[in-house]
Amino acid sequence: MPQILNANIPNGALHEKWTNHIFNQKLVNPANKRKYTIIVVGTGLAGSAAAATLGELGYNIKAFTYHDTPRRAHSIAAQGGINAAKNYHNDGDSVHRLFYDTIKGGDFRSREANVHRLAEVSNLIIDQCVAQGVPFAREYGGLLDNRSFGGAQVSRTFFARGQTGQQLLLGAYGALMKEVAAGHVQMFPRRDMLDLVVIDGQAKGIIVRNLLTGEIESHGADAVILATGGYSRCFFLSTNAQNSNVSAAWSAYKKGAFMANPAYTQIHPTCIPVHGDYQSKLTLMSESLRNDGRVWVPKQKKDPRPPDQIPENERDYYLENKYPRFGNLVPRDIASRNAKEQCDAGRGVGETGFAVYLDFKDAISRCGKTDISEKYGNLFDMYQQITDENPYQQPMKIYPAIHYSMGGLWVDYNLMSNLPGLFVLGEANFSDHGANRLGASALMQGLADGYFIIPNTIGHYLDSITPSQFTTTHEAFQDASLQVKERIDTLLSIKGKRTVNDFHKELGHVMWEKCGMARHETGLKEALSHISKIRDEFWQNVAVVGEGNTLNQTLERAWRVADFIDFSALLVEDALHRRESCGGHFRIESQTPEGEAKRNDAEFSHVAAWEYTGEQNTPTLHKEELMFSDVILSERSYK
Amino acid sequence: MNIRQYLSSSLGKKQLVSLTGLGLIVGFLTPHLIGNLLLLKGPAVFNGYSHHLHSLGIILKVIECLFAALFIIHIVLSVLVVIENRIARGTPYRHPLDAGKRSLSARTMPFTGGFIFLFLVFHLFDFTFVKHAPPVSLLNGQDMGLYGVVINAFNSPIRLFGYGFIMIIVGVHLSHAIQSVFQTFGLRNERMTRWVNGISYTVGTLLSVGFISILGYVCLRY
Amino acid sequence: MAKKIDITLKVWRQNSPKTKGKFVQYTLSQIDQDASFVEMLDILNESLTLSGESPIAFESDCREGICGSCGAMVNGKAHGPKKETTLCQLHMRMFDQNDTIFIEPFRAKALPLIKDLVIDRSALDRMIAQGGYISVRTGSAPDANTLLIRKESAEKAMDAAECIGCGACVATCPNAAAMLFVSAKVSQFARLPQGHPEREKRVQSMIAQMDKEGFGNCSNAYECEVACPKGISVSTINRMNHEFLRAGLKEA
Repeated sequence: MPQILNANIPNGALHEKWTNHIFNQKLVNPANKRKYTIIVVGTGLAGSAAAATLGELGYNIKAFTYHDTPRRAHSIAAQGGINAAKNYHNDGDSVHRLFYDTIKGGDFRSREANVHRLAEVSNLIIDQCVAQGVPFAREYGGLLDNRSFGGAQVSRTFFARGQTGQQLLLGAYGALMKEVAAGHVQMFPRRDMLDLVVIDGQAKGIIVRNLLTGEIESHGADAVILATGGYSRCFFLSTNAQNSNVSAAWSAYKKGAFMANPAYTQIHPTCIPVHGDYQSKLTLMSESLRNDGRVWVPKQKKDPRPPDQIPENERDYYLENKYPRFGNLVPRDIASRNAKEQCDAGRGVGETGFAVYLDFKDAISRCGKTDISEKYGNLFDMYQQITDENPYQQPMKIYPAIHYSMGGLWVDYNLMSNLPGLFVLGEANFSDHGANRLGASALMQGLADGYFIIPNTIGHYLDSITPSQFTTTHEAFQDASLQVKERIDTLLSIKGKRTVNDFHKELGHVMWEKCGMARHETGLKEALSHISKIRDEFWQNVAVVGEGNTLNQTLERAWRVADFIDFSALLVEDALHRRESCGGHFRIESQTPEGEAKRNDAEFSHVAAWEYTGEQNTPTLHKEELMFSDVILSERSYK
Repeated sequence: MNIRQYLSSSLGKKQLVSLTGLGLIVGFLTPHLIGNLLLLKGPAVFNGYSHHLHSLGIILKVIECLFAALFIIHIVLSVLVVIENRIARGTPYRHPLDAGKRSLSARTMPFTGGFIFLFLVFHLFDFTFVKHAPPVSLLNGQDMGLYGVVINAFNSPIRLFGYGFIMIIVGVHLSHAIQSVFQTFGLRNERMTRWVNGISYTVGTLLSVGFISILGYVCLRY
Repeated sequence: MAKKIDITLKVWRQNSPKTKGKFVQYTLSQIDQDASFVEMLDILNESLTLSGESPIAFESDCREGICGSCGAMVNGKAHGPKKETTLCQLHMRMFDQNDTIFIEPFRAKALPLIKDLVIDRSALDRMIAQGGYISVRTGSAPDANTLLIRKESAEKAMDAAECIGCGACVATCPNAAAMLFVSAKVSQFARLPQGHPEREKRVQSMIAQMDKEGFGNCSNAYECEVACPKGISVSTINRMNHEFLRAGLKEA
């Protein structure tokens, strides 16, 4: 039965909700904290920050990662920066403006109270990270430097060269290792979470596979925190890491947790274009490049001339022409869609015709090569390394690629899912970015959730339960691990003729073509039937070589791809249901006469939370209505 | 961390190797070269210097013991470090490691060190533990003391070239050793790198050339 | 249009730490020179899988040179012939037609082999756990701008902080020493005022752990800085030596 979900948003004025809520939370007595065990799955920004902070508070933490060390999580690859409403530049920034920009950037499809809280704690994050020794960029006076980034009109993005994610993650990793040394956190590296254990409707543990020995282990706890990242890899080619997957979240979904807004995926406009069928990933280049680079295509279709031989009046700087106020700095979804339009119209460049130019010639003649190289040197080097072309001499070629998933497991204001005891943080939850994430907001959200929100909300839940009520001898653990073993045995026994990668590529191709930057009903329905065919063939014809009781990377991938296939069907289902365009979700049927995304607030101002109802059944759609008290819903215009 | 823990740590050991090495360069090798160069001033001056040293008696013995201690610490720790380093690799590489940018002197430190040790033993028997009296001190029928011993010794071309070769090895050893001292004690920064390397090569070469010049003198003069 | 090349690989295959390993030869034809080294290994693994052979185990995740998962010795060089590049960012255009390429795991007693090219780098974590951080309780930090840090110091700290923990420095060091790894962390925090309260304890405990793990000693060969995909300089080791001496003298 479809329900209307309650997000447990506290009462009171928007800017007072969080403060009041913290006060109204029940606290766990310091002496009792060590009696509670909390499992944290994933050690990216959100997971490491949560495990470290909860460890500091005195809880017993078990932290899991499928990597060899927590520091490898894909948060490490974030380049550009992290937002905070410090207003160090005196350019009119404030908590309210960051809140408003984020709500508007998300195309009014996120929860007001969550977003405001995010903006409130944003400043604390910067303080925390500086204290940890994160070497943020500095001005000559010794103060922190910021830049304007990804569609923001104020300078609020803090950065550490082009490696902000790395530095923040290493900060959180350091904090985590400090707690490991102190004995508050027990690390379980090289463990892949394969199932969630639910007892009496509450999350009580997880089943993991030890990736080195193949052993299926049961771990019990009083609460489970998933910080397992996003699902962009269901598109095969994405900017995500090779191992990023949806399996942990998907197992929670199959145990009753709702999956919210899976159709909200973000396409990043500045990636290095696809070049060969062996390609395993797309490389993103920070969109800070758009601060100085100018995007253009030749006016003439299929223009064969090299870029330097195309005169100014035959170039179309389409973003600057179409959006004079924001120009090249329009939000990601808009920049991406426009690139696709240009290429679809035959004006794309490069070997495949699926690329546009990002040109630094003007910036170099304005500020000099040294200045540009100081700002973007590492990005230029990276580009040259991959493409063998020198961006100082010829314009870069860029094309959009799947980069981030705004959707995820549904959580309430406390970041708890509909399953009590299951908390979801960071990219794995759906909460703060609505239908489109602004640049430099992902790091902010991951760390906000981990450092400042979960430590203040989880205690209230823990206080309501008895610690260590169940052990792993409980039949729920036995059943879950048995099912996991059976599924592994099945995968190993198929011995088919097609590789896991091959299935993954086919899935990705369908998703990108039919459910990528522009979606329409017919295409989505075709995608559904295609995915179902892939699924059928996968379970009959996949080739998984080797044994289950040793390091077997093919088996790991097979498990993940199997889940991606199922998950993709849900993603497409959600895209079908949402017959409006908003943010990263563009339905061709719903656009303004100028071709911009057209929302339908009357029918779709809600969070779509899907409930699993069995393998062959259509999932049930539950809705959480989005209420706005402080912002007025408007058409998102960047003209 | 107490002094024992400090000195038994990987960094402490290295600092001790460096320090003893430096002590030997400054306290032993350099004065030894200067003293030996007196050979060029003729038998009277050189033998005078030798007698003067021996007249120090107990003080000389103390200084000799000190140098022996420096040598022993330097050698024992170096051998220990080399053994530890071998163990640290575990399974050796099947495809040889690329030599990269390591200088010849850096790559051959254990070997040059070993050579120098063997030479040292030989050298002591050659000049220190022999009586500086006839017949070995006879030069043209005249007792020329240590001066005569040295000149006679180098009349053998094998010894002449052997000593020359070893002196080159000493130079090679030192040219890595001296810049290593700066690095090991954290006294080197990026701007200084070229200077430090320059000093290291220069000192190594100077000491080497200094000793070889004595051989040259003997060779030309007799 | 990139050229395609034919190559011969000699890959170290070893099923487990206990079994014996050996180089196994594979030939690959028509490899696009725009492919990365790990994509080339993907191609090989696809064909091994289809022929029912077990694919080569190797680690790689971000494939953009930042996570530190990948790494192997390629013809005796950590991460291959290109400077300041991880294996995943090494492209096949660095190789020529009919080249023979030896691929061997990083070797060090403290980083033992698990399978094929996969090694256990948990020793690096254990060293970080001994002080590779600044002890700051979440939420207790003062406003970020109360602390002024010279731009130059911040930049120098950042140079050291770029370490990705791949282990190439250990692998390439003739003594299997972890000096560059430890010193990168030590000197990052030695450059910053936030790191000063714990500086003596940090350098001493991290080095004690390093010795305990069985890494080798530094003989100032400076090979680590050549192999480091992030170009971390041996001046960080100089800095660490200084910090260690300073800590020792302060105690004495």
